[in-house]
Amino acid sequence: MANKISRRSFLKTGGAISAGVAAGISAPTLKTKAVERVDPQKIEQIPSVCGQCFWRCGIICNVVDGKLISIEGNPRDPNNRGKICARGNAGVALLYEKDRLKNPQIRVGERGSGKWRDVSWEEALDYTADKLLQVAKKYGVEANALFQHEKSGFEFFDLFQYWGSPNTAAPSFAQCKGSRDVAFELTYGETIGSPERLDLANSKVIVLIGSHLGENIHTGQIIDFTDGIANGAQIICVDPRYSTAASKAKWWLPIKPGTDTALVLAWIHEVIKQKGYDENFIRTSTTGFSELVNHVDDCTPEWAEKITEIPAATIRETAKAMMDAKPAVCVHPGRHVAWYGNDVQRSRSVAILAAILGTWGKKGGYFLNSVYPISFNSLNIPPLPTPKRERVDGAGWRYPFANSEGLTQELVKATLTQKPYPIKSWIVWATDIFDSVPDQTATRKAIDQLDFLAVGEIRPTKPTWYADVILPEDTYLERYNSLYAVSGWHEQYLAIRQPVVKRLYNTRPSWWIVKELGKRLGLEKYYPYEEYEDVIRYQLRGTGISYTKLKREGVITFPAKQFLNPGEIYSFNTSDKKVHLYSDELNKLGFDALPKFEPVNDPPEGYFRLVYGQMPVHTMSRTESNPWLNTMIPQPQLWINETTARSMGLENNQEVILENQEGIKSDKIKILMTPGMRPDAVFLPHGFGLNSRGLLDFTRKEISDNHLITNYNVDPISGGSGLRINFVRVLVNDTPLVPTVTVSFTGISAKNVTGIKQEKSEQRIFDEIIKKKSSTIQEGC
Amino acid sequence: MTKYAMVIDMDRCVTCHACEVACRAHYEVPVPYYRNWVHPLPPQGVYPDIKKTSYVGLCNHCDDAPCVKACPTGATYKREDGVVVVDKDLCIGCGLCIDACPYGSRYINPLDDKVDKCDFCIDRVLHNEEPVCVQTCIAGARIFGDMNDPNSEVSKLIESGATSNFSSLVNVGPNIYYKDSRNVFPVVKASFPPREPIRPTPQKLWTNVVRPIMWLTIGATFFGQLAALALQLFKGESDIKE
Repeated sequence: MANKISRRSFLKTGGAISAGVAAGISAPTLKTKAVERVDPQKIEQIPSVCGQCFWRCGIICNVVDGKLISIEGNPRDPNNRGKICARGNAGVALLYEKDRLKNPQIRVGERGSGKWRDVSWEEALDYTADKLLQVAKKYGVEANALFQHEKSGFEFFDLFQYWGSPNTAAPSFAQCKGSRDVAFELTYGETIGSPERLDLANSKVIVLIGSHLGENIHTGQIIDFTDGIANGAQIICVDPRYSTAASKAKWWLPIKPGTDTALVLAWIHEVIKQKGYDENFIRTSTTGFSELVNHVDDCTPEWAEKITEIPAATIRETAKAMMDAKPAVCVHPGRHVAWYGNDVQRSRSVAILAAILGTWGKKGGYFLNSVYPISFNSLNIPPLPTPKRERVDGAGWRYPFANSEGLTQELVKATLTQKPYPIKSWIVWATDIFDSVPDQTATRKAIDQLDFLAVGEIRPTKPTWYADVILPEDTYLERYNSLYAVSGWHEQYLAIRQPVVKRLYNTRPSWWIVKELGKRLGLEKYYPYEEYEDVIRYQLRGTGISYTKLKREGVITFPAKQFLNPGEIYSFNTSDKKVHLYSDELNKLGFDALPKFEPVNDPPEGYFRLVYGQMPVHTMSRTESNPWLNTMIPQPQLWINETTARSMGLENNQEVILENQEGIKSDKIKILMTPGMRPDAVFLPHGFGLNSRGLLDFTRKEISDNHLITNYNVDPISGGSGLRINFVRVLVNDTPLVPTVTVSFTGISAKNVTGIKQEKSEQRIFDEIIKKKSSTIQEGC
Repeated sequence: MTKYAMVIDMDRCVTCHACEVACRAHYEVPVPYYRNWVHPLPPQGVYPDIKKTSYVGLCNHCDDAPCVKACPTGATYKREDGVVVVDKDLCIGCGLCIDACPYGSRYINPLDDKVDKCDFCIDRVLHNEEPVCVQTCIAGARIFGDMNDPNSEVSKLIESGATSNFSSLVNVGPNIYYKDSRNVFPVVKASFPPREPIRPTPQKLWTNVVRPIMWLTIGATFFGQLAALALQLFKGESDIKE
């Protein structure tokens, strides 16, 4: 049972029953709540920016006498338009979560023994700086590395830039949208943005390839998506699982996992064959169309049918829907695209399909990006030092198109192998590297190589358990962050995150921590300010934006140029100002200039491909411990095909153990037997299995999908880590269960599709895995 | 006369639970209770005819509300605008209304040991605000309004076929409607049919025997007194006349 003391109970004593009761309200109305209506006069409404995920919705926080009582969407924000999701609403519970980190702590026992002592900030920072300087002295500044995420992490990214270590990485690239962004930059010269500039509301056809909108919640996108549904958009949903998006779709294409590129190439083939492309756009704004025509000549729907198990007729029908609706077709580029390690090429095929349908800058397709109307004053800081050594993760050299967001799994690998040079300290800021970076064992072992590990968090996530020093950060409701400036989309806007309540504990904002740490590292010249508000005021000086107004309203909007004018030719940000259907840049570096379908390994017999995805109330593992969110979806369920499961002797809701190809086992997970899952794959929701022992309400449970994701393919172009190459089998009482029926889901069986037979012996399966494993691991360099 | 109702647009709803949490925040509903709910249902059917939806529910503010009948103190009552509310001052937390509700929309709030339930955010509504669940719904799937106003969106949606959760066994006039052009609502109905109101024996005894006798006694006493008074007045009048 949660806290019995009501947050608002103190109000009762004040007799704070609505003073301005409008005439005509009968007295009993006000007694219908357990808590009296709070006097609107007493509510202070403070705008800010939500921090429960990375979509940055504008919020309004209702505060009474310094206590946060509820959070609403900020109607001024063009992103979320007055709405917020479950997680945004549950920000209140995050603030008052009892297991938050409340004091800086220094480890006293062995690493991982869970023994710390509370210390002052002074001591924690002195200690941290001392350790970092020791590493720098012994191994060089570059031996200090950083894992970070989002706004607070950026502060640390800057600190590392000032200090001269290039070794920083964020999972938002290699484990998320990196390959997509690289593909769009190669094709269009710019990314699709975040929030993605998709005009879903006006689309006539929406193509979702693995994007499970509805379970993956980004408020603004869901507003547009559901408006699109209401406006009669036809949805083509490509997913091995019957997702919420599939339930809204006209066509659900339960594709064989790993074959999406073949489907997209067949669509491109069909669009070209039927001359359903935007001829004018191709002539004026693209290069490489003739190469594309030749390239997809053989990629017929019949060819794709054999690979994808999607009937050729369905491929034709869906291609026709797109051609008929063009340019109001929104081919969703996806967000987490780190699937198979050939993800840049798959994303390139998506970008090319959208291009030949002429959807760029068209209503119902992709919004244009706009030039942001404000140029902020930049702080007058000394020039940055040039790092003396190259990045250990290979971003920009081994992986030529990876950018400074960095490659987390490669940084882990380099730390583990001490190559190309030793990495001896990590700062892990606001990211659970155990839940995001594949191969948890490698991460754990890499930590053993470190002289020092500092973790900055709000709650005790798994990395905090191994920390030498814990630096507790203010929640997003207690701190300033740098300004949010979003270009393009519906409207452009500027938003501010500001404290809505006084901090509850001995925590600090990241901007203050980096400044204080910077001073101790001899970098005070980069921090010429005392308060973060001074920075914001300075940045806004001369821009015509009033700081007071920004603080009061939370969001200031500027018009965006959404679409191209009729006949307008857009100047793309590429070498020749055109869309590169054929990529010379890739060709020059020895990569395929046009995307090819590359098969991935099928699951060995008795095994299923492990696919995963989001649940609507959770942001990865960040929200699992939030009591308001946990109560709705407390445990993940493993989705498994009904017929297959029945043939294995399983019953719905039965608890099973999963074992991956390397013998890594999960704890017990309940199964969901459903017709909405392909027989050759199982689906495990992501974001569960938070197993920091510091979170007292949680028993340690290894039910995270990432616990079973021990293999990955590195994309040779972007360095992204393909995670969907892991296979699991189902154990009951330590015995693997094998399906005894072959389910042909769509009536088509692709070659090498899971041969589901019973006879194979344990040993043979094992041999096969070993064989497959050796061919699966692709170093990518 | 206003009659408030809500339509849930199942075509738009994506089962995101925002409504549920917004309500929890606004009314401080302690975990694991709720005033409104989203119960996700797994995909069912046979490929390619598969349905996936969820039961999005809240108090139905029924026309013939069993909870009102069950309440021994009159704490639960139906307002003229159709909203079923609980007068906390009168509620004794006996829970009879919880057993009576076919939809499971009531719980005893451990914060004050009294019954709590959705009241359509009536005090917000009377202050010209939307119910919190409607305000936060990111899918635009909740439409609230006066179903007696032929121009309201709610009445138009009901007119064009939005359905509600009743069965041949239990139909107490629910006022939450579901727009459902993909025909998924039968799945919801099959999984969450309205439950026959439970009326415990003491309560049956109370409503069927004790209360009628009591009213009869009160009535008889009252009328007896009245008759006596009338008689006295009649007599008295004649006295005055004299």
